Amino acid sequence: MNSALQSILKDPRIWRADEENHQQRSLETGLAGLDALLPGGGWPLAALSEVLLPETGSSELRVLLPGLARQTSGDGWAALVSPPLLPCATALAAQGVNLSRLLLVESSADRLWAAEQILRSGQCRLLICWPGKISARQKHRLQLAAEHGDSCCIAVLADSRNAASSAALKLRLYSGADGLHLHILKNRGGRPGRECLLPHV
Amino acid sequence: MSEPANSKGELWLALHLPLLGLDLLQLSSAHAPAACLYEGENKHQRVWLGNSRARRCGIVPGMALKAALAQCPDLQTYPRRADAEQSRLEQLALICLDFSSRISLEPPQGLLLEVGASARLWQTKFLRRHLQGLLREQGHIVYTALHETPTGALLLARSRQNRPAQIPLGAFPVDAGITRKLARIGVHTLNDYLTLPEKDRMLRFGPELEQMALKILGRLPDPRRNWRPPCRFRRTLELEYETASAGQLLFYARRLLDELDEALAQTCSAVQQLHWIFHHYRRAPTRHQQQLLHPGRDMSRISLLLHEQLERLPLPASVEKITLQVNRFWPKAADSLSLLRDMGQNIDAIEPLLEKLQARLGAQAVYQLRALPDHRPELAWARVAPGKATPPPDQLPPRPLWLLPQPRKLSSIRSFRHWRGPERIASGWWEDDIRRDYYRARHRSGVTYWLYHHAGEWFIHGVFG
Repeated sequence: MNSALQSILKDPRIWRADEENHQQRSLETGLAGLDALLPGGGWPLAALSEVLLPETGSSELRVLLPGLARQTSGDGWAALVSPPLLPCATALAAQGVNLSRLLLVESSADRLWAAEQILRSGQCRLLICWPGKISARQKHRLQLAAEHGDSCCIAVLADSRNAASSAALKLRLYSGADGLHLHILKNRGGRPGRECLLPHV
Repeated sequence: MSEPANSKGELWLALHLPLLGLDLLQLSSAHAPAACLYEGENKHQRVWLGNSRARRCGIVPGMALKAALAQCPDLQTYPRRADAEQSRLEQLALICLDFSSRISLEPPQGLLLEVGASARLWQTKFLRRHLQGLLREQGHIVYTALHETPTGALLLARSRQNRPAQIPLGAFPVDAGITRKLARIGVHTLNDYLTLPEKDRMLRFGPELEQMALKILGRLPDPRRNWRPPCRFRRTLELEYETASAGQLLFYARRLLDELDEALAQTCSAVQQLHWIFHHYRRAPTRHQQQLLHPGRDMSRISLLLHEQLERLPLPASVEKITLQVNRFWPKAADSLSLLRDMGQNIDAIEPLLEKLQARLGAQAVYQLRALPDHRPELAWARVAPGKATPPPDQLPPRPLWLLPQPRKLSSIRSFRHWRGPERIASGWWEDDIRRDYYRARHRSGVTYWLYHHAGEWFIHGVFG
């Protein structure tokens, strides 16, 4: 293979079927159906992921909690930055989240700053933030901070169809009659457009 | 006299600072203009101490200030500040703490160190010279002496003699009348005094002198109070020019932190709370309190935090002085490395991050949750400061993932389907009257909510997601 082709193949935008699942490091989502669809088998590390849904403060925790439980079960820390409602301590503990390893930060004006600091410190492997309105530039900053701290940043956003972003993974949640659908809109290093289903409880 | 340690193995090094008060004013050198310190009020002002040029003009301690001025009209006079001298002695004692743990302050002008215990580590001769050098660097004139007894060492240093027998009686801190009386009968030194019949000495010249002589001979115990470094810190730094810029203030604050670090090192302590006071010209000072999660001594971390806070601290005017005050020193935990690094609840690594977040967002904004064993949702959780371990309760009723801070009233429940419940949640009769029937129901949008019925109205209290 000549060197020009080599350099093209190193470009992360080039997807190669035979190298699927090989390069991306990740944190398990804890949902087997979702893990199977993601290139690294989980939330991508050192990257920004977006979870889109019609209204924040509803079904996102169902998708995020299993991963949160795995992350906090050992020595690792996880953080929630400016959640729209109060996460219920009892429910979190019941789902296996170790509350003593979960940090909550409440701030509206400085939430992006706080998220960036936490990501850059590299102390929290998993950070979930509800940034509200966020520009592409701010997303890029979160992406850079996640790369710097080698951590995983998940931004939960109200659904907006055409928002540009540098996120490695974009996931849309919507409720159907049979349960909660997780639709992969963008999947760096994997195949987009697939979806999985979480049945209603 | 040689320097053998006595039976207890003690050897005392005395430091005598004859011009301490003038050292503070930088008037003690031979080139300084004639100057003296005085004590007393109004008519009773008397010379306390004069520098070498003043002495050459005939100024001696104890003479009336007016007489001194008449004798030497160029004489500069300053009131004596005993408190400043005392705090200077304490600062010097801090330096000496590197060489001995037994230090005694001997105001007004002396310090005593027990060096026998470390004689094997330090050659005493070298130590003596080294300390002399250190104190000279601090701008002091210092005389030193070694003796097995504290009193002996002090008096040797004060009189600049080598052997106790030669100490002039004038060097003893006793009533001048007694020494004059002794001088009249030809008794000038300690040796002369000791040749007098032992029985008569006390009767004729009083117990004070006799006791000191016996202490020097080692026949009377001579206990000294061990000086302990203060477990407080307060230092004020006057800025070279007034400024309100955070960067410049930080520069000066770092100097104070360096001093604090030194004080902490000397006492093996750590700090948790730092009070900063920024003084303005003719205005109430701005106060700022810095709180660390745990006692620590990492000054670079503290100064990083301060940087964060200074940029957000509203200052009404430019600052002319900065005071740093620490009211409590904490014993410093030994730095230990765990053999099994990943075991246990070690939160040290995340601490700097938590402090940084709290510094900007406030302590309330950074927290952890704690689940409590209570069936009422309002009381089933608590906020705790980060880093506090929280064992979860055993019995956990099924609860929604989100709670609304306040239950929200619903106008209609028509769009809800798939009802399940109810669960009755009621408080005891001795508490607030809560009696609610909770249901789970799915909204048309597909989201499952936690609703309750109370007094004919429906409320949303949580979201299952």
